[in-house]
Amino acid sequence: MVDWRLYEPLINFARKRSMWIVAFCTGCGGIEMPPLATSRYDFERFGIMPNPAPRMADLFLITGYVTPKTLKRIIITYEMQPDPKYVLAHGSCPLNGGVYWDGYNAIKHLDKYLPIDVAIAGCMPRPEAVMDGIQKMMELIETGKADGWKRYKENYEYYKKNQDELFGEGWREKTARRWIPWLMDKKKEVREE
Amino acid sequence: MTLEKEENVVRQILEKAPYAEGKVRRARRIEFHIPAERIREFLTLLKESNFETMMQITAVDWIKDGEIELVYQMWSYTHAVHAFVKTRIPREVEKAKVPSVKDIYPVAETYERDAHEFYKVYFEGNEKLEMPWILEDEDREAGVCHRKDFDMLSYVKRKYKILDRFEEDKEDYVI
Amino acid sequence: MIEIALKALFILIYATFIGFMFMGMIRIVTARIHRRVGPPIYQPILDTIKLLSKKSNITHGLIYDFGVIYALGATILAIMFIPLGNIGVLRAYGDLVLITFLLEIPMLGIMFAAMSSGNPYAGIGAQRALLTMLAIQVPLGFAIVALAEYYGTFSTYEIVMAQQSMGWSITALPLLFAAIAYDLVLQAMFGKEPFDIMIAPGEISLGPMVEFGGKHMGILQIQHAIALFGETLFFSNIFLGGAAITIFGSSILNTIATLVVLLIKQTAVLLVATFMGAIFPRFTIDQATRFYWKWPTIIAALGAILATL
Repeated sequence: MVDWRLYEPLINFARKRSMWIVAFCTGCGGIEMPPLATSRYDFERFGIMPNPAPRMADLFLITGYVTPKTLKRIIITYEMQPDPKYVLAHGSCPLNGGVYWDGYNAIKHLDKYLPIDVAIAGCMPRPEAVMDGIQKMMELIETGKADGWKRYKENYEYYKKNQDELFGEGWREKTARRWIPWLMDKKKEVREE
Repeated sequence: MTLEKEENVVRQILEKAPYAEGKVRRARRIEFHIPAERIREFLTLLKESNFETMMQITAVDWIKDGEIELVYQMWSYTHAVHAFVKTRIPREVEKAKVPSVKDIYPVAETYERDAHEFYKVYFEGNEKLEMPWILEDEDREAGVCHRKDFDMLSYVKRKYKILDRFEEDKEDYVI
Repeated sequence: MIEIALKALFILIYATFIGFMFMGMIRIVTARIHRRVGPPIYQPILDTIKLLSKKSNITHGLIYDFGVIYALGATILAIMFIPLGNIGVLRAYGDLVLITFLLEIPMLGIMFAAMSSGNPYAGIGAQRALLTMLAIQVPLGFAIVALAEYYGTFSTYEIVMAQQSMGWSITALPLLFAAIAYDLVLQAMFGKEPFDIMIAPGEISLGPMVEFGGKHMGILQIQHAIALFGETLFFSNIFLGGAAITIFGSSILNTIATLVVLLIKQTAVLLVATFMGAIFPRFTIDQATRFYWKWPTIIAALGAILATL
């Protein structure tokens, strides 16, 4: 059969020149996405396209601070993406808490919960800095060192332990069921009327 | 500029509500202080004198007086005047109860949920106080609130286990 | 026998390559209209290679996998029936109704696969896509009837041959009306604004394609490329006088000249669709249905009536 490892340079070239972003803008850095996508700092020349479905996307931009509420949704979306997938963290909040270093609602060190490949410093980084970060990401993919997804799969117990410590055990079912008593009671009221 | 319009508004309202004290702070801003049990009457009166919207219910924690001050912020489109309506209620969790105003201003339901979650003020008559709002379940169970006697920094250190820019023995720090 | 197999293989490879170039052309023309530098024109090939090389695939059962292969198979079969110069393999058997039918099946295949995945967005998208398909049938039917009445035959090959002597179809008035109606139907078949309610990026997360990832999406990209090629080729054959050049001596030069002329006509059709797509916002499904059952139907019906006179 064909040995696909011979085609690694071509496949890495294709992977680095057509990254699709999950259209999930967390935090305050979502405002830096439109300048990148429109005519001034056009990122479509590199093949990057925003894509609303997580099943088809490979790049996840974590732009800015992450609250525990958002982190639950980010983890669920990240696990829905097929391998290989990359994470790009913007700003100083995912690194050490940034401006919210003493806030009860901002995650201080994101690398404990989700593997990050490239981190871009700034508060918010300007579009030129984000382009620099994207270039570094493309270099990492080309040399085969962008292995956040491999780290997640191999060290899943470490990540899961940190997530469970933060959220409590069984957080997925609890989050999915949280609103049901409130919605069900409302429905009972409507039916009785 | 004269503050005639605001003074007219204050005078009109104080004629109908003798238990209140009111004054004009500056142009377009007036302030009333009322006792806590008359809040519903007063807000009904405001609604009839053309204060159409409630903008926010803010809670202030006066720990040395032992009271929580609730500020109802009202805006009137016809007079173009922003009114503060301030009441004080005792601070202990069992005694911090105030009747709800959600039938006079329906939007007050959301703001009362806000004040309840962060300051533990109970609004009687609003049955949706426990609906999920801003705090997650694990924070609610740990009793996170914005009152001044809740030690927020040690809670953050317990939750995230990193608070590397805080040194315990410094009074004021430059980051 | 070998010759037919080689011709079929050549058509397949040529259609895929040109289809990818067309997809790239849509993206780069849209980007230039927005005053940006767009992606390079071979970008969809890179996208497909990336999608096919994903290391994990999520599958929801047999119908999910089958629907995608079904769509690709129907599209490949459709292009074998359309006359492509003198290398069309089954062109003698391709009549208008058969090709139209085969070009609509891929949407059904994607619907099966999407609805079997259980995602509510896929269900909404599938409903809307089926409604759009229902909406485009009426003007399409009238356009086909107009063509058949004018030329007296349903066979695509004979229509192409008739146009070599009588001039392009759109120079005749009833067929001009039919061509306008069919061009509006083409916008919905390509999935471009203003009728891209079935794809609807951002509104329902790409509709039926929300659950496809990795290899399934790669196969769907190939299917989209071949479908673009097939639909533009069909339009240029029946309305713009598809080419059948015999002036050169050797048959290879004839074939190349035919393919080049057809390529120019196909690009014109694609550019008209891209320009319309770059300007308009999206119609909702009831507006789209109401539109299709009003003006294109009236224009195509007028064309059909005039063709019988």
